[in-house]
Amino acid sequence: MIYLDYNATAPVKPAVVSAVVEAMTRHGNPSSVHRFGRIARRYVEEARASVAAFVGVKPTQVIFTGSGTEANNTVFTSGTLSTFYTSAIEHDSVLAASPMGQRLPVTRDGTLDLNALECALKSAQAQCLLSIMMVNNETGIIQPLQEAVRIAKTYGHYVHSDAIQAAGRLPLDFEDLGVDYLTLSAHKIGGPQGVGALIIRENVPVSSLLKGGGQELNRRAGTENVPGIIGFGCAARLAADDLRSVPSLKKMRDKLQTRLQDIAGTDAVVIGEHSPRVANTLSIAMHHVSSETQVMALDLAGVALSSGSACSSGKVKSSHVLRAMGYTDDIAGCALRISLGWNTQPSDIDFCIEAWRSLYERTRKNLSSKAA
Amino acid sequence: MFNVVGLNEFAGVANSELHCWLCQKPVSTRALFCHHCGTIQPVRDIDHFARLGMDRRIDIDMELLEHQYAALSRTLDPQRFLIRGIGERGHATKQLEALTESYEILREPLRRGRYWLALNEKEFEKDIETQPYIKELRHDLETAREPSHCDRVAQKAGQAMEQGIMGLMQALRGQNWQLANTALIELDGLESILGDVRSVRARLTAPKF
Repeated sequence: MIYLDYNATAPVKPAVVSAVVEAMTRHGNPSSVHRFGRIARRYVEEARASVAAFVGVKPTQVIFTGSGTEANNTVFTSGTLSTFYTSAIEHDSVLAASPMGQRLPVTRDGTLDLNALECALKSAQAQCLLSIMMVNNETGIIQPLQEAVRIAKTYGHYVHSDAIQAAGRLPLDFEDLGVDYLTLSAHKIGGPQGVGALIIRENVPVSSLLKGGGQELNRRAGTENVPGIIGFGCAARLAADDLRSVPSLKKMRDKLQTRLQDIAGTDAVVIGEHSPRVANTLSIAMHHVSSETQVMALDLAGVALSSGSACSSGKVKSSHVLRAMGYTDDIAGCALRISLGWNTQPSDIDFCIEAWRSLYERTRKNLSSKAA
Repeated sequence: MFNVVGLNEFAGVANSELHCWLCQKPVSTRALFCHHCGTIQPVRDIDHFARLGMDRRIDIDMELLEHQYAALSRTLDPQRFLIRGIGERGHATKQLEALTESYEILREPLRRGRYWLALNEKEFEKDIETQPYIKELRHDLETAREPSHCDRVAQKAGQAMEQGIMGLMQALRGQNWQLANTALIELDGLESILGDVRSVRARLTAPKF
């Protein structure tokens, strides 16, 4: 079975597995003052330093959470701000956390409409929070975050960015981005599931989503997931190798894209083909074949990929991202997301191409016989 | 099941002859860390582009280069390996040195141009006659009697350098190796003049006793 769904979750790196397993053989609550607790605390702080170095901040700016979703929700419930702006293509965890938020449109190329952003923020009555993802999870399109930050800061607003899909694919520098909040998740960079982080600028408002103890400097209640955090720290260190792998991934992704276009011609529509994209993601629609059918057929053929965000309880539905880009259901309902990662081999790409070719030829034959 | 870890050409195990110095499991030539035990690896013989995770091309994205260098050097900061023992700390220091050297070569167009020629196995011929304008600048410098003469030479040499670098990049992009070679030699000459301007100027402005 070939795994090409890294944007949903990446296989855990073996060194991370070892670190997590070792952590699970020890016990100790990092809040305890005895030796067991102190050892656990030391490992948590070492992991915090690794995550901090990963994005270029001080360790005190890193708050560990139970997921990227929790980190995103924490941002929207912190402070007294009640006016939110997000792009229309954000992840569900951002859209659901800001139900009254104003959705900013994206252009046909899948990037945030900066003119619309400027108009919206200029007319905002009070200080507000802008949330723009760094890389879209379905299309891999890189958003003009720095320009958005510049506009938002001109009008004195806070900025949050969900950088989960950017981690390990683009070099991240919190200061350089200029945001106030940044969300990360361990399992997209070969770490364990169930652990995320919220990176904050010093002195911005932040309060715990959950009520309870004073962990994470009163910013996230609940005993720390020590093995998960240790795994996150390990994955953050190893992500340096992912950054060095970008040219190789790009070569494989580009080969995949070119070959699928060669096979299907105009029946294959590459989403964001001419937009800035991360190297690991290909979003491609096969005309007249629903995403659901493609995902299932390719799964049977031995290729695991998805139709878009994997966070919808396995539901296969028309993508809100593609609809926001102006695609109608005949494309949005036929799109696949193919995402590569640290363990993708060139032979995986060849296998995927052949499986896709076989599916395409079968469906063409069926359509022709129906038409006849 | 997933494949055996990292049999791809990039981060994991590409070269079965290479092994992690600590756990002895196979590692890729390009890996900074062993993906089995997480230990930092010794510096391997890879090209400067690969070391920084950049596309191998003469026109590099300078902003990306800066960001890649910043991100990778943060990970390799030897301070972060203090509790990991002398072996890992030593490898981190060496890796950071190698990364910095690669960064400096790629950052400077002249050094990058020289490296690009070497990477493409083009011989760097030195026996090319010096261009008349360089001879003229050299003569002007040698006969300079006032600091302002030196400044004029420096200004002309600086402008020629700028144009020369543009010409060099154009030649390299077009794979015109002979032209690139000539441009490099001219740039070497200009660089040497700019270096000498400083000493001549210092001599002319030194107090006379």
